[in-house]
Amino acid sequence: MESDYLDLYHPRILELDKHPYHFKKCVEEPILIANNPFCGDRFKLFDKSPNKDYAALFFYGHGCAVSKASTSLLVELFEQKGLTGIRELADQFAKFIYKETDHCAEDKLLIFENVRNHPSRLDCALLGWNELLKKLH
Amino acid sequence: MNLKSHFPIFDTHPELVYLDSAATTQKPRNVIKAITDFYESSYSNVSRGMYKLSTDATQKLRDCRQKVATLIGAESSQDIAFTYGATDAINKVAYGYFKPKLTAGHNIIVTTMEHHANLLPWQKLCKESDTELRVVRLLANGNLDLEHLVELMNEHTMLVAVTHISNVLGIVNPIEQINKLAHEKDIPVIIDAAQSISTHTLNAIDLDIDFLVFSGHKMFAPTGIGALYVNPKYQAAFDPHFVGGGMIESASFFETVYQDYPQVLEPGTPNIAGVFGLGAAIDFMDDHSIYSQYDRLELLTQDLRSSLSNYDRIQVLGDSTNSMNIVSFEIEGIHPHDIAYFLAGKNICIRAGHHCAEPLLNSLEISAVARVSLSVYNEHRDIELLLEALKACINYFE
Ligand SMILES: Cc1ncc(COP(=O)(O)O)c(C=O)c1O
Repeated sequence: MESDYLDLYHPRILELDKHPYHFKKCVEEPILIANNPFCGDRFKLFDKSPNKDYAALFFYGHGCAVSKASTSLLVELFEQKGLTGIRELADQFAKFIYKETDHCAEDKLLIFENVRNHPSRLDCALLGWNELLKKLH
Repeated sequence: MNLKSHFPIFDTHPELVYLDSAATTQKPRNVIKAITDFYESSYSNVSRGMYKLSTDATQKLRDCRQKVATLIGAESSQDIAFTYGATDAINKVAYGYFKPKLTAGHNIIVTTMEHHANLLPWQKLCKESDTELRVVRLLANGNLDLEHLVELMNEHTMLVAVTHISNVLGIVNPIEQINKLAHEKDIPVIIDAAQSISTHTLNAIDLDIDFLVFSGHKMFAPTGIGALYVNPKYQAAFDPHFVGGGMIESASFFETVYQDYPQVLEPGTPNIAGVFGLGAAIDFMDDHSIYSQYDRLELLTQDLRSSLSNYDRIQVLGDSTNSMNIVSFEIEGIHPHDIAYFLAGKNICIRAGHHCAEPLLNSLEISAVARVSLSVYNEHRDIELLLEALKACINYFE
């Protein structure tokens, strides 16, 4: 039973929990607030790029290891792919997490493969991604 | 005496370490049996039948009302209304009793440590009635600042709403003293006994209680049933929010005369099996002198608190000298959900999150905590297993 639970935590998830990418409190207005009212997880995304083109993104807040790691990757991949690219990926990643497809379009997100078998943690993996799909156009 | 043996869940899951009784308690065998017996051999609707099944069920429902009255020292079974739970009961008081009385200039007082169930109905009502919502502060040790309560009360205060035990901090509030302070100014008090009904002997008359609510499922009864006590001096003034069958003296197309309290708050077919389950839960509490477990559980709570406090990285919330059954904590660097999930892998059930007390957590500047809560089936061994698992958890996330 124990290993079933703990296979959720890919070593890279634990690493990102401790050392997330661009994790910093910012003074700017957040471009996105990802909030899970059931558990209190809450991350804010900030765009610090001069042209506001998502080239320098940061995030800050509280969340579990899974939501923090996944938001960290969201920020990193968002910078690389821009808005259109990240929206496409978010859509595809949600389908992957909900087991609507077994194809994961981005290798870095494969660390969340086991999350798919933990129904109570799907929202953790998708916290920032789902908010992005709803709010950023 | 080992009360655990009365709870079949532990036969099904012998390894289970259940430390989430503040969310809901497990059910003893006699409660489960009362419900299945009703459905298997004596099921019918109440109040409206001439046949034996129905008259028996009606009588049994009456008996259960009396059991609730006796449990909380009410004068009469007619002081008790059945509700779907504490939330439902508070909303019934808010909309059935207070709403018609509130106008601009009035105020209602709640405390920082209320569960959303005893905050949101008052907040909403205040907004709708242009009434001020006032919030009693906590002292640094987490206890209510009673001097602040006194400062907040004035001639326009319509109600003080307070929980008996905080579902996050485990702090036990001095409800007798709060009642006295409020009553000196003729202000009624509603007491949310959701967390205390299974630990504290409550006597509505001795404590001079105005309104008291609790849920069955936190005192060994099923979900979907709860109770409301209303002091006789307030009973006549209810204007029901929900209306329908079973609550009228007479009805025509354009006018209705309602029955008195409690029927006026009980439209529709009641949760009969739930009521019988609640009655059986009270029998269980009587038969096993559940309130005499108080000292044992208080010691267990203190033990748990002090053991957790021994860890450098663990921060325990609340007041070590005033705490019952509930211990919330944070571990530096590990999110409460990850703690709860790690423990789940070891068959240990705790809860993580804001525990429906988001304003309280905000006031403490935390977003989520891990909460361990105890009940009569817990033993020292459960605490030992928890502590062992927490050690492993800290290592794992290191
Ligand atoms: C202190 C307190 N009040 C009220 C409630 C609401 O109870 P219910 O959800 O059964 O209505 C709870 C439940 O957690 C509670 O802990």
